[in-house]
Amino acid sequence: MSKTVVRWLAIPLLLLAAAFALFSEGGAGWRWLTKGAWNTTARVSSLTPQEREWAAIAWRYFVNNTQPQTGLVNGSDKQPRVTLWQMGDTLIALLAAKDLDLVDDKEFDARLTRLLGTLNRLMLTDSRTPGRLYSSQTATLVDFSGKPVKSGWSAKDMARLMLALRLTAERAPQYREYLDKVILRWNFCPVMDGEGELWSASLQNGQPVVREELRLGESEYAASAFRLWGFPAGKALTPPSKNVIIYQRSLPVDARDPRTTWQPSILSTVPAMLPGLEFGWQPPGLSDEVQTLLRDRAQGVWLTQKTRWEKEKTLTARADFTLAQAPWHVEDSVWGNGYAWNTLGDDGKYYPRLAQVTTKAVFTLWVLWDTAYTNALMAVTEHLNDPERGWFEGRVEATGDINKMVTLSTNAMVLEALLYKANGGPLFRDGLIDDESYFVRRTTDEFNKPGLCLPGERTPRAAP
Amino acid sequence: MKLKALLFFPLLAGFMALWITLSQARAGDLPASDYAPRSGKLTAQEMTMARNAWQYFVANYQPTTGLVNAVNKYPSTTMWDSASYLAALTAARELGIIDKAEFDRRMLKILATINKLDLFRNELPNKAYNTLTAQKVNYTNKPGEIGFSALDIGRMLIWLKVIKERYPEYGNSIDNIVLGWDFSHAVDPCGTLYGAYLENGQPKYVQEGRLGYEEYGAAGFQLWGFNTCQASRPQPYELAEIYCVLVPYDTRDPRATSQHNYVVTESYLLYGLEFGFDNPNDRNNSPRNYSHPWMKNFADRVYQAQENRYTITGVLTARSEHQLDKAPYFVYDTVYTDGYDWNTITDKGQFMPSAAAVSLKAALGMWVLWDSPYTDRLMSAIENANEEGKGYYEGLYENGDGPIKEFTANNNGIMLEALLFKKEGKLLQFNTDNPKNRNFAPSLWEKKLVDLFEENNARRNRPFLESTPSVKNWCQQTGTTQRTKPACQACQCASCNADEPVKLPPVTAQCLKP
Repeated sequence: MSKTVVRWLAIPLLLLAAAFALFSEGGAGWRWLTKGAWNTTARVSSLTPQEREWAAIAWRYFVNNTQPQTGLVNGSDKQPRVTLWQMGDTLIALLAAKDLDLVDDKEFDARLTRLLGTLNRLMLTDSRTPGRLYSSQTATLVDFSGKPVKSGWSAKDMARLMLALRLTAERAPQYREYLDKVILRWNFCPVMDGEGELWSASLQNGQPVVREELRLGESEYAASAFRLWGFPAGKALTPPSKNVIIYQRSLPVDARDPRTTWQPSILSTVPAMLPGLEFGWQPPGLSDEVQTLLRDRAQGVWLTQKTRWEKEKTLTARADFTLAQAPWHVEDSVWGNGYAWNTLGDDGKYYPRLAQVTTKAVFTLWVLWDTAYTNALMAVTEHLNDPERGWFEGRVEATGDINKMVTLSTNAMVLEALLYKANGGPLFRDGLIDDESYFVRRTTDEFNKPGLCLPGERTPRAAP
Repeated sequence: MKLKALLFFPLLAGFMALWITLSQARAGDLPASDYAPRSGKLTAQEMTMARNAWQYFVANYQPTTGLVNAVNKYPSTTMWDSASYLAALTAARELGIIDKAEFDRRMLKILATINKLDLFRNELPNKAYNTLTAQKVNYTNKPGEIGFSALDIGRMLIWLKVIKERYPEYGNSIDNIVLGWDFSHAVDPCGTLYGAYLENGQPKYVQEGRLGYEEYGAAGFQLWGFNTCQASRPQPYELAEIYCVLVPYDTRDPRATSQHNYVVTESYLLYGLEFGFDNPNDRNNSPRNYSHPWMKNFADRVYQAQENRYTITGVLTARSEHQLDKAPYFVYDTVYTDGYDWNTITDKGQFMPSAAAVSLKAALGMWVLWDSPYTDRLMSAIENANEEGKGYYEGLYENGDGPIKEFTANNNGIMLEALLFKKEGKLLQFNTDNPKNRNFAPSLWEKKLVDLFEENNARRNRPFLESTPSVKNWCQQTGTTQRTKPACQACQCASCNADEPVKLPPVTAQCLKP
């Protein structure tokens, strides 16, 4: 008798517990289930006091480096230059800061408003595309020394900002119209061709040189960001690949030859993990096949680094990073231009002594996989910060020294990773632009087309 | 009746399952491992080819020394190229292109010259010699010394052994050559091979050889009794996926060691032609029983990647390092090197894709070791790529620019080797007595080596020979005190076990959909 009663009581109680687990914390558990985070052992729970501290340190960078005139944030500490990619980072960091209660609504509004205004007034290049590098003080096009220049554009950087704008639209919907207007100023005619390949341009001796710059990893990430705005990114989603073998594991890398295209073919942590943080490797609007590929590649990238730690006893978390002296920017890779664990300077030379455990790679790996390996990575990284300045770039493999550069991208990635954890899974709920938006209204206005090769203006082409 | 049929069903299903697993296991194999080597009498066409190749050695013979120019009309040579000449000479006699008289005249002359060579630092033959004067020279053919190459010496040791075995009448001259050499810096106790070069006038000894060439060179030292444990192991290697084949390459980093880890046909080819993919000391001559299985397996992979490239891209492929008829005059034309598939680089590492070519020695070597429709096509492409009185071209440019109008001793020598292989099987054929035989008479080399009181044994780092009953017998008869191996030679390098079996890695990748 009592047994039956207990049974009848237990069932609804269990259901209630399950429902609570799924829908508490803003449905984080539900998202965890539906967005595929269960494929990994991701860290999904509210932040511990220590992790709040980490987030606050990262946010400190943004407090220090925001330019009051424009709302833009310096690309690295006290250096008043910023790329479109870094502007995207700024937006994501701001969203994270709001979600993690580092800023209140009033400050969020003030910061976002200033940014929106600047983005909507951003100086464009001769081809009416946004340029490669801006002064964070004046939002004009500059070169690395700060002198005004003409400039090409980078489809990769454009994509990061476009993705951040979509994320902002989803998390702060009241600003949607102004976010749409940022993209409506840009001319996409030279950026994406009819086959959905993305093109970039740089100036060489004053002449623009248009090239396909994106390589496997970056290419699909950029394409999925364009897809969010309704662009039919086709070719860019399936770059030519071939396999290389590291520790008996086959890893797909870009098949285009860096010796003839002069574009390094790099396999690294960040491009593989961003789709995981943001979409759980299921960017909307892409075929199942592409989504599976993205997930499998990310698996390969993280497991290979883990294997290196297990077999060679070398702590490994590879990503590109910035240096305080030449070669200034380093592509530290799992595989690059023919070699496993290649460390390439921007001058194309091999710098094995510069390889490092890179902070942004550590945070992405740590949050996406809860394992002994990522704990070990975090144990050497958690003190790599200055509470007054932000997180450092990383720790040098060869010597254990700290690379004390402080950059926007690293601190933004720290915030993005912590936001993923607090959010209980991928940052996007969906992300696709909806048909009722200002953007779609404008691009489908038959009588007053913007004439900028926006999605509505092309012959409709199904995404693959 | 019906019931009985039902009873058979599980049995039938069992057989089906077994058959499926077996056929799948076979699907994991390379087609190349099923291609037999070609053998049999040479056809008229093949004999013509052999005669054409021999033309090179007629045209470039230097009567003063008996040496042959390594490159057409350029009076310089190396130990490697001279070994290729010895191979050509052997083939020419065996195939009936020249008679014994001509063979003997040439052989007497060259062995005398090699015996009298001025050595690098009185150790081993210099990397280059002038063919007119037999003086040691640098790469510009000016008198001087530049070092020695362990691989060149290794190939020479192989051919000295082949000739000693085939024509024991030359054994004495040959043993004297090797007894004149000093191996103290060329092989270490762990069996690693070292080459030498000069830096500011001082000799530097550096590990030499990468996967493929290293084992081939080591085989030469092995034939003369050296322990080559480290050099004979495939490790360290890793696999590269090239047109669905997992091709092994050496993982010693070319960026750190400035030695390219190239994978080419030639190293495996020579091993196949000269040893039939057997252990160097394997006296058995059965053609399809490979006592060196990983070498055969790696060779199959290198072959298969090239056949697959032809199938997938349509580019006729037979890759080996080769000369050019224009600057930079020499390239490593590889299946894989320095991180890239189908890399063609200069010795400085500069990428030269336009210099890629079908190497004639590689093509003919592949033709004889792997009987397949693909190698028939290679044969058709190369059979008439020669010039009257000069021999065969070095190669045919992959980009359609025609032949490389250069002629070399190595290319024509290896082509002759390949044709001789078709007639006789593996080229190292043991003819002298088996040392395990009780009536075995030790050669001059063996008699010196076992003699405890021969001072040069230790001074010149000569190997220890295994003492067989017949050697003991000879010692007892002559009163020679026998020199034996120290009890613990292996202690110095415990990590290397020469008899350790090599586990073969998986061969194919699943990149081709059926």
